[in-house]
Amino acid sequence: MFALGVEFLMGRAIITRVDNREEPEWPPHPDRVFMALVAAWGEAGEDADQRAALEWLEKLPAPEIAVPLDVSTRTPFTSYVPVNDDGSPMGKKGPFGPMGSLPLGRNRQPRQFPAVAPASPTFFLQWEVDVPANLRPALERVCGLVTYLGHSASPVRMWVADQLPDDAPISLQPDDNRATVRLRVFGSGRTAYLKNRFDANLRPQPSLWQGYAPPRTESNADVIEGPFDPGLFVFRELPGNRRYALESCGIIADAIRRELMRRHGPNVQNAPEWLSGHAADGSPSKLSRPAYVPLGFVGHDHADGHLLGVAIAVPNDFEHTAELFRLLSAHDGKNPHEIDAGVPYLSMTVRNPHLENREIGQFDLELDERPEGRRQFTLKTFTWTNPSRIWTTVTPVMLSQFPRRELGTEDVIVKACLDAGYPEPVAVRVSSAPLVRGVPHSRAFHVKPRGGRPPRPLTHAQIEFPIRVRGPVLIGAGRYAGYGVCRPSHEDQS
Amino acid sequence: MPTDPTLSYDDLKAAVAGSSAAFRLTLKLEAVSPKVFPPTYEGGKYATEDRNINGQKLPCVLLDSVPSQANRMELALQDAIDGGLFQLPLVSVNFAAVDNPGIPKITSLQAPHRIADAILRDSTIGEGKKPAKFRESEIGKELDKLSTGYATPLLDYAPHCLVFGMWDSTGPRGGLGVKFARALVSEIIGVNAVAGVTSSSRIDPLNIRVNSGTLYKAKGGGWTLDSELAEKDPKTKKAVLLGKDGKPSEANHGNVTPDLVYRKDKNGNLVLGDSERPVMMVVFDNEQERGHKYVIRDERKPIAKGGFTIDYAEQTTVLSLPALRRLRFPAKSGEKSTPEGDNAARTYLAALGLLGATLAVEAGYDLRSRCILRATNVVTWHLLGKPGDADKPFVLDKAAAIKLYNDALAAVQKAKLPIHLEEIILTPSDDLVTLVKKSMELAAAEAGTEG
Repeated sequence: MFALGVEFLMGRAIITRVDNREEPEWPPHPDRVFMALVAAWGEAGEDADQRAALEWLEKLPAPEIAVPLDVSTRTPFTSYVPVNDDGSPMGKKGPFGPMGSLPLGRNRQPRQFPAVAPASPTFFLQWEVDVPANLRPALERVCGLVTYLGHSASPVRMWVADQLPDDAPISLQPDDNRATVRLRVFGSGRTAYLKNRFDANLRPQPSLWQGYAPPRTESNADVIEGPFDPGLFVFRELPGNRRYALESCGIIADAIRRELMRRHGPNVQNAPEWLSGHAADGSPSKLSRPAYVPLGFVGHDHADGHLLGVAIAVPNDFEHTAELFRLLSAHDGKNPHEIDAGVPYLSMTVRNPHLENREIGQFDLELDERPEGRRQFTLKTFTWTNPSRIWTTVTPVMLSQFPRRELGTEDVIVKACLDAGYPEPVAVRVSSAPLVRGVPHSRAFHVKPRGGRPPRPLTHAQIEFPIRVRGPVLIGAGRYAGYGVCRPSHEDQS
Repeated sequence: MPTDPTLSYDDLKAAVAGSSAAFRLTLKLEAVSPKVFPPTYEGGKYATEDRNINGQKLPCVLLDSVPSQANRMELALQDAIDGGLFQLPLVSVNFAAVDNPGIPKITSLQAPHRIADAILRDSTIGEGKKPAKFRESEIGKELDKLSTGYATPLLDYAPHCLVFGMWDSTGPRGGLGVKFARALVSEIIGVNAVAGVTSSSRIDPLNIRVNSGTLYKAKGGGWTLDSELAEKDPKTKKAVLLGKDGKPSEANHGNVTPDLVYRKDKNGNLVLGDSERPVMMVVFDNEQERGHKYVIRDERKPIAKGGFTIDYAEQTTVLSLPALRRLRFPAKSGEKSTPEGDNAARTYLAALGLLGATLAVEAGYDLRSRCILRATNVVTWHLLGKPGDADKPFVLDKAAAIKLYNDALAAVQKAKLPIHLEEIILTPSDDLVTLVKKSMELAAAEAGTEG
């Protein structure tokens, strides 16, 4: 590996954002460092070896960055600087005031010099490759020619380092999925582009943008595994369906269960307990079994809660995964979506038990085999499984017993967590109103009739565990049927 | 205790020729009075920030900015040249024609944009009926050829432009004119800055009261209590009051009630709160009577402007050596430079920068009213090499800095590079002289009416 080290010699940086001249840019963008290198190369005589080194550097992937993120911003202020296009001491409203020691006045215009004082004046761009021995001297020389970064009042020294010092750990990694900041990076051809723009007396345009995120701090020591396998089977909705809202979570789960039972065989009585959800005597099964998790579009400014897909979560100790997968793939291949036989695919007619089991539409799903990075946020596995201490319901928890005076709703939820195999929460907050943007009110959800008995109560909740728990987190009586699905708090990830 | 060596010409030359990054001066200063008043910016703001010092986050305040420090160094150089301590190529404009003792001349060390300044551009050089405009003269045409590969004309006529930076933005190439980034950067901050309050008051020894009389604007200037002798309004035919309401304070008499000094914006209005948006509070008043009465309150308070107490101040000055290494000095445009010539010229510029900084330190730190600092340590520069290498300390006082400069100057002359030590004096254009005269008259007239 190697790294480019940069030290702000004044202990602070005057460095302007590309999109807002009144705000400082921090962290410094990798392309800014590259442009300083190209400028140094150009002004010092355009050495051929140095250009070769820069052209090698520009082809490297986006670097990891070791930069102090703890910075103090100087109070933004406006300076008035004397202009030079007009030397007249007279303005429209009379003479300008004198300037310092100079008894003459001059028109002055506002300028901003936004500054930051980082906790440490040094930062590094790091790559996992080594500098080829033949290019290293030229790269070192061109680094030694760099005078400033940002404004000329921010002199720097720059060097090639073989390893990062212990007090400068990587603080940002290229990561589009979890990006907390977007930085300009350089790419192939940047040296030639910058040189051409300079020769044409044009300012360079900003280059590629890359998302950066702090490195994952997961150490498994402080993460507890949940009862379900974090590797979800994610199915995405196929075109041609009507839109289903999160409220339909129960009937969708039921439709999937029925479809899989149908594929298992004509005799429903033969369906195993893990599939039917009923014990041999017809009572609800106590076995842990696959859970059907509705993937609703939530937690975003425009979120409306509609289903983008469904995930199937299997318990950690589940022994029938192969059989389940066989059922998911067991279709005839004759379908409007041209999904080949043997590829997991579900096509169901959804019935609404509240409307005398009338058909309310078709729901077609296929296994989402795209890489995680190319899926919508809702369809990414980690959106539902990232370890977190705080989890908030997306579909309401179905309580297994009615709260009473001496047994509050919170207590029922604590018990539900323990029953489902999660640690005992340290805090539970319940609410009928949704706690995540785009989620419907708990009363909007359908509850399966229970043959004369009152339906189980539903409530939204926010649950705080004493330790980070890896998802999926599914709790309550309806956890296998789409209820009690929680989402990790993304503020709690770091 | 062994003292650090004085920076010699050979040390400096070796540093410039080598691969060291910079000379850095970190000078601890103490405030002479317990409180300092930093510069205020638009809206009465101070520039504050937090710095990590010895592992502790301390509030700091900017006491002197980069441009201000550069101006102080240039002035210190000008004063020393006027005192005959050394010679430096300079171009100046002679304003003797303006007949005002305030501006006998303006040199390229004083003009805001240095040798590219509009004052120099609007001046002429030489004698005769039709003297050449400065930028059209032999010297001016040399300046048009400037680039980092041919910095010789600036070495010849105004070398400080290569140390403090320059942008020839109004030359023949306009905004595309040559730019030299500054090689010397300096700034002073106050460390552990705690904001204070300050009060204003005036006790009139004559104890003149507000009601003691109405002041009128007298005919022919000044003021009078006799309305008969006052100026008359041409429309209403009434006597004109002095100032807004004819109070004695309009003529600077009477007491000023003691009060705190608050931040004011450029229009003289009090700045309320720290946020830009007003903070309105809706208060449910009169609740017991179930009267649904809402009171809207502005919770913002004026911000006191009272300077800071600081533990100490710190000046950081950096002379970037790569900035000088970019410059090349061929004897003529289009020719190749020699390594010896380049190095002599770069070393000379470094010596000039160090001299400017040293002279400014020796001139003291009377930064502005109620902001006087003084150095507590010897001036010790550190030569910064590669990270990990130990910084090399060198002391430098005024005498040593002048000797260093003169040695470097001799080396440039020995390398047969042009350096014009005789001051070039320009004559301002007639139009510029007229403008300056008119401006001075107007300013004087305004000053008269205010009192």
